[in-house]
Amino acid sequence: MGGTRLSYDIESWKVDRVWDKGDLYRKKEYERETLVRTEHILVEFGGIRAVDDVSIKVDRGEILGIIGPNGAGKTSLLNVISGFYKPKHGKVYYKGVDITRLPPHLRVKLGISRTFQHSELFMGMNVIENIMTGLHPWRKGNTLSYALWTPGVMKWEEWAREKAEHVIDLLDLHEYRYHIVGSLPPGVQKRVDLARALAQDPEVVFMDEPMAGLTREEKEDLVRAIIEVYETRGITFVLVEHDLEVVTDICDRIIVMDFGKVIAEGRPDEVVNHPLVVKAYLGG
Amino acid sequence: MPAGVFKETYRADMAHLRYPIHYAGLLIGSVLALTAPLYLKGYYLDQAILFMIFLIAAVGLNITLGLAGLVSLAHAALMGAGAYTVALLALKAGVNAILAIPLAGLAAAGLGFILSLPSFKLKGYYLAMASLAAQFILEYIYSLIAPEQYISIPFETKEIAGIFFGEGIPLYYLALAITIVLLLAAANIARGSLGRAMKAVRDNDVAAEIVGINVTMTKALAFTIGGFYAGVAGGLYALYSAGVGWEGFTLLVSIELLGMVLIGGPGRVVWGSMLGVLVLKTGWTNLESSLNPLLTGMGLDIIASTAKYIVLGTLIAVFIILEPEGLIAVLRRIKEYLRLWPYSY
Ligand SMILES: Nc1ncnc2c1ncn2[C@@H]1O[C@H](COP(=O)(O)OP(=O)(O)OP(=O)(O)O)[C@@H](O)[C@H]1O
Ligand SMILES: [Mg+2]
Repeated sequence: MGGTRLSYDIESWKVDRVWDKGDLYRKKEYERETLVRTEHILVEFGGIRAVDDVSIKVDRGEILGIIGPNGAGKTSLLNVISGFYKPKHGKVYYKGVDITRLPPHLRVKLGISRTFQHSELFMGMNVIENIMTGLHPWRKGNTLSYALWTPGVMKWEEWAREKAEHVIDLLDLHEYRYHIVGSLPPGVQKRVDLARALAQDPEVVFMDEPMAGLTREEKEDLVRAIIEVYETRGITFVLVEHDLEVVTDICDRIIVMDFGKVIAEGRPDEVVNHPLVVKAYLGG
Repeated sequence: MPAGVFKETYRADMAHLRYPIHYAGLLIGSVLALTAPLYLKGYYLDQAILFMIFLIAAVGLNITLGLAGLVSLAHAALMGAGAYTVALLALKAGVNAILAIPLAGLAAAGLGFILSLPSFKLKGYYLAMASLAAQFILEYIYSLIAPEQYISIPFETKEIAGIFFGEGIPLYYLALAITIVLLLAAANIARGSLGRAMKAVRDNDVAAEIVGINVTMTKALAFTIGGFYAGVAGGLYALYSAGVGWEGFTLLVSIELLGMVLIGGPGRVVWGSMLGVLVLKTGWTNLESSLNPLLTGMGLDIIASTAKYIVLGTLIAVFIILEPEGLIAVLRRIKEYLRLWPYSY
């Protein structure tokens, strides 16, 4: 990502492009690369189609929103992309490579990271340990070398610690470094979750309802953090959200799901007025 | 972590010795440990040796239970595996008992690995039941090995270069050397990515899998390493005892070890285990030996013989409910209170 393209006024929840959208889109067209693509994904749970023939794509440099009512299949879709569910049908591609069979931690290594709707942090460990655990896929050394704390292990641990400290800076988590995560407020936990994902140096981060259960202030903090990371690190974000306001404000593009299917897709202003979306959100 | 204390480098922050008090503690601790035989004689030196033996076993269980969250009620049986390995190798094959101790560790590690198999599918109570079954099976096997009597290890296999390591000062220093090495290794495991993997499995095995931790392998390792420690402890115990019999490795011993970890500080492999053994082994033994004559004198023999398990059970329950982080957390709070005193916030 090149220069800063966003300005935002967090008080009024308005996030505008400095460049006009057309310009931004043209520029993106030029450097467009599809990072993640799904093809006809089908996920079933005992006859219920949680995800029903979903094909989406995520382009580099965008903030994509995925919205939909409860049970629409958003989390299930994310679980397929991160490798936690195996789809009954369909394929997942990353940069054009089929990763449908790849286990989750290898997808992490490729550059796909995620956060969780219901905190999947390690509640009995402190913030640093939680973040460093995210670097596990890159771990080197065997049991014996850990017991002996060989120079190689020392070097790796230092490297991991440095990475962790870097995201601690980025997300302003200094004061919580040594706090046990289970004792932290939900807003901070969400930031730790994001920190763990970011420490993995991802190209794309999928966030599952990051705003759920947060106070307004905590939401503002988190949005600010996401935008800052987006700007400075050029990381692509996919936000699964209930909070329409947040999504329409910071996303370039929105995908709407209902009953396992994609029912609408487009720019925020197009999507919120889409009749099916209005029906799903208000009529449902 | 007191605010305002920053380490120069991450390396310094990860070091075992981080504060002046750590260096002071190390200095005092080493002087005490090295000179102990000068003022601890006979019974008290034995107490020190037993302390180290149970410390090694407790550290092993603290890795399995405290770090990885895997309940094991068969830890004493694993100690037994170590003890019988040394005893049988010495008796039947004439292997030097001291040199057999690493083999005792390996044998118990192998057994620990087998005990880990149920943990791939079972959790919590069910896993505890599986290990309970293992404890009984192993106890039974041990009782078959020498049904009527103890296996006594030939004296000459407890010697190296004419020094008898079966008791007293040589055994003390042998145990001390092994303890130091194994404690350091445990502390290293705990502070590195392997320790984090174990804690991750303990806290949330689903998330652990997602971040690329091999949950099955981590559980197997936690049991295997724990078994190794138990085996070495058992091997030392065989060296220390005149004979090896199954009574030393019963379920009650397993529960005692569980108590040491839970009460001392689960997950704090070195200091937590140390506190637990100090209270439940050393402290208790001395309390018992001074209280028992009193109780017997009052005609309360029954209480004297069962008191231990009533108190132990109660203590375990109290700690699980009220202080799941163990005595070490209580100490930390006291320290924090003293640091801030007289301001109570
Ligand atoms: N592991 C599972 N086992 C059985 N059914 C499941 C499972 N996961 C999801 N489902 C079902 O699949 C459907 C889609 O669920 P999913 O969690 O993907 O929806 P969602 O859009 O994330 O909803 P929410 O907004 O409530 O988070 C629901 O009917 C849910 O009950
Ligand atoms: Mg969901």
